Amino acid sequence: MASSGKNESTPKAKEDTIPSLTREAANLKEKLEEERRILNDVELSVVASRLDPLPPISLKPRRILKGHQGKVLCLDWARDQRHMVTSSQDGKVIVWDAFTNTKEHSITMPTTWVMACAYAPSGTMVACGGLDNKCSVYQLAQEEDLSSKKRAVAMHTSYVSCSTFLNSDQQILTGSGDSTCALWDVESGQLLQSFHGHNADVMGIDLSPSEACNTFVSGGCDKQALVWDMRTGQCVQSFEGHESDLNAVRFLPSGDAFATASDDASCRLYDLRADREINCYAKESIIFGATSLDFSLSGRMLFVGYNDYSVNIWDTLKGVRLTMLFGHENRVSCLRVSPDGTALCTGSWDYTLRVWA
Amino acid sequence: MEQLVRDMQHPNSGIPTKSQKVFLSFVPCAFTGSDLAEWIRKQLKTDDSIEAMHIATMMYRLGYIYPVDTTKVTSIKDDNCLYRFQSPYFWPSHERSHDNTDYAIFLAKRFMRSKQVTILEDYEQTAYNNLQRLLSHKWEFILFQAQEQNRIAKQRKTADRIIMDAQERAFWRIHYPPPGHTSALQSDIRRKNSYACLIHQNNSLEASRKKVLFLQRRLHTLTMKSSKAIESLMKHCSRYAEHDPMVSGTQPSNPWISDDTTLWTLNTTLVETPTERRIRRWAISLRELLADATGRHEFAKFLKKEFSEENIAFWEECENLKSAPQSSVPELVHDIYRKYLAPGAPSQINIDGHTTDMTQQCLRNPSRFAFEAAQLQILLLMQKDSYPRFLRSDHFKELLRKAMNANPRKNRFFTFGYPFNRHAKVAPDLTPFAMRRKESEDSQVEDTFVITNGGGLTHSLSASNLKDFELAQLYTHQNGDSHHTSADNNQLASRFGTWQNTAPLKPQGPKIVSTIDVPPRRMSDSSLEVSDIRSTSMVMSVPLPSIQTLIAPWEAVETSKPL
Repeated sequence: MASSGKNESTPKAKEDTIPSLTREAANLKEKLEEERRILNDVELSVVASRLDPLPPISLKPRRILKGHQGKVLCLDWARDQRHMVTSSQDGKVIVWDAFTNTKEHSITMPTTWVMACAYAPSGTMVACGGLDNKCSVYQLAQEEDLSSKKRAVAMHTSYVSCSTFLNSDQQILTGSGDSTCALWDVESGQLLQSFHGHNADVMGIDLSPSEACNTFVSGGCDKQALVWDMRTGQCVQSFEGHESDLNAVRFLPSGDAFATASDDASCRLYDLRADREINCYAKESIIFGATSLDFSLSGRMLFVGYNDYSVNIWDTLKGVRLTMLFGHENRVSCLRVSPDGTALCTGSWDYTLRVWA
Repeated sequence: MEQLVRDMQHPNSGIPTKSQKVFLSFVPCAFTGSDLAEWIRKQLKTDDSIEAMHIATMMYRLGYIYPVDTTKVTSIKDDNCLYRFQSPYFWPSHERSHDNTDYAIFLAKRFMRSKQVTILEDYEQTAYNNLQRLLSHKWEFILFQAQEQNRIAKQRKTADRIIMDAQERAFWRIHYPPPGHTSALQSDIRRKNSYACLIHQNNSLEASRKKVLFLQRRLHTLTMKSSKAIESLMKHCSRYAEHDPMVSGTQPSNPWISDDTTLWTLNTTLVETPTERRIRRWAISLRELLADATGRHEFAKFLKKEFSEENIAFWEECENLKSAPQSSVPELVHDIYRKYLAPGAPSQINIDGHTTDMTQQCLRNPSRFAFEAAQLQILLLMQKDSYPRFLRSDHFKELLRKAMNANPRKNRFFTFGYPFNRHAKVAPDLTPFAMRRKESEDSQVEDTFVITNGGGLTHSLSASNLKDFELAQLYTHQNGDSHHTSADNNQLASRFGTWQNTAPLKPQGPKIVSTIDVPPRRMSDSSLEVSDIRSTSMVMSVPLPSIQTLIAPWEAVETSKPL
């Protein structure tokens, strides 16, 4: 570890003007960059070249879930490894037993473009939201009419683009087109903390898997990814580098790094401790934007869904592409590895979902 | 994408095109599928012909190229079929506004001509009829337009006319695809809304001030060298490789492939005998152990024997507090305080005065993070003290043995390899291996040479060496305080009396040998039951150029804690 240099310029409390502050910010940014340069002593691909290559991958589609009448936009696994909730453009939210390929519940939302859905850790609830600017929770019960058990938890001023439960059923974190993220209490619908800092729509969020679980990362249309402290609502780190909108962010299972998928057809890996980008996953032959990504359980493999209907699998460390998965007939919109890492599920605008193993 | 298409059309470096004779008329500037594939492969430096075909197909779907002789193509193949470039006028990026009226004109045009040559396809016919009904108010206008355009077209040369016609047809086919096909051009609704509500925060004074503050804070936080971060990333990946079904497969089988859910039944949240792999995962880190309900349960059982179960109970309650609904937070906070922290509490936990003060301040305004500091301290305490002892305990070994007996197949796991854990295979007995691993786990970065210099890692424990060590164990009362960095360690020390630390073994041979210390243990423990296995795992002699590179695991934990 190296400690950062002492910063001499103390903020002048009185004569703050926008130009002076902007100048100072630029100044500080330069210093930061300088420091990052000094600390950047080695490239990941160089170090990783000594690693053994991964064994060949033979992922095949094992289940094809058909049932949506619109583009599938979001999916989330339940912790029991086999259930799944998916949402689609036509306003339907379906709870599947993916293992037996059966639909268990179907919910009709009062809105189209349900862009976010999440399975509660206990498995008794799902949350979803979209163009209605809300995030609603539904209790999963045997009765037919689930909408009677609906409760709106989160309210944004623009569409809800992503949502996730914290470690319990009691808190939901949402990201929205109004450029904020927010933490909500499920029971009361109370806003616990809001996170301001993005300059454009938030497209993806992910919770840190590290023990304390007090941080999360968000990525948005302002081409940057921000890391937040959930307790204070402060942005603690920011990462730039992409040339276009970010579509998804995902933590490495170690919690020390995260990856982003962007419309500029690349994915990048950022390390929190080194405070910089440490790898970029791009290829000349990949010319379509990346929409979604996830890691395998160990973090060694990175699965990325692209707008060109394909899924690419990268070696996270070596930064080389291992293989491509074809099968979907329209763009891949969402992608998740099951919690125990045994399967990968992809959802697409061709109305279907595929489980690969 | 567009750049790519332009490159393709480049007369010299582009795809070779030539005129082809089709239906008694010439189609200039056409190219074959194989040429296209070849070009993409060369230009984009990809060896994968499937990928090249995929890119070509995407170009077709997006309407940059179209097939010459038939419209019924779903994907482009590496063969001699002919294709042409769509004229830039029809490229999707131009976002030429097109609506039903335009489509109706196009269909009407075709319909008028259809008496002679072409017949509308079924879906087009239906669309035509529908549009006629829908746009009846301006149907005359549409017919007139169609007639007019046909008239103009007739004045052109035949070749031009056919090309124009084909381009137009390709265009409409993309935008109004036949049923069963989805158009590739549908856009994401998010994009449309995007930027509409862009907030111009950048310009406000408050935002600039915030940005400066943020940057200053950033400058003051510690940043790790890339090399270290990368090393630890790589270590994480290789350590978990055996637990990653995508990398090393699953035992007994992947349910998605075999339709056999044994794996899931074996790994349900609370089980009597957890699988061996699961137990090994607990040995990776305390976090892994606590993340698993069964692991937590076993750990609590162990702590109970050691009369320190209040630590894990407190930790669990704090976790519960964090995930509790807001309404019950104040109540829970006070419950926890009464139970664990208040003077004379029934199961008081041992934290230092400073933390107690901090916690008491938090109590005035009870939030879900009130016990954050105390919880962290307890966690560190468990990590340094109970956790290593848990891994060494008979309780843990018993669990491991049971798991191996339950699934004898798995014993052999290490012998058929996945490429990462080469060094694991060296260890003949699993127990020392687990120990060794545990030790290397705790020091996140500093111990990397153990892994990387794996070839040089020697268990140079000859019999005499071992004997020496046992003696050292019994008779030296080494003061371990020098290894401790934080204040709470002193406090820890006072709790347990004198630390008994492993004496650094002096090298027996000419090489410089340093020792990896295991976390300190209580005197009574070690002197009573020092078994062979234990002592082998306690000290490992590692040939090294210098001694000072080695840092005790608990120090490493502190220094490598991210920020």
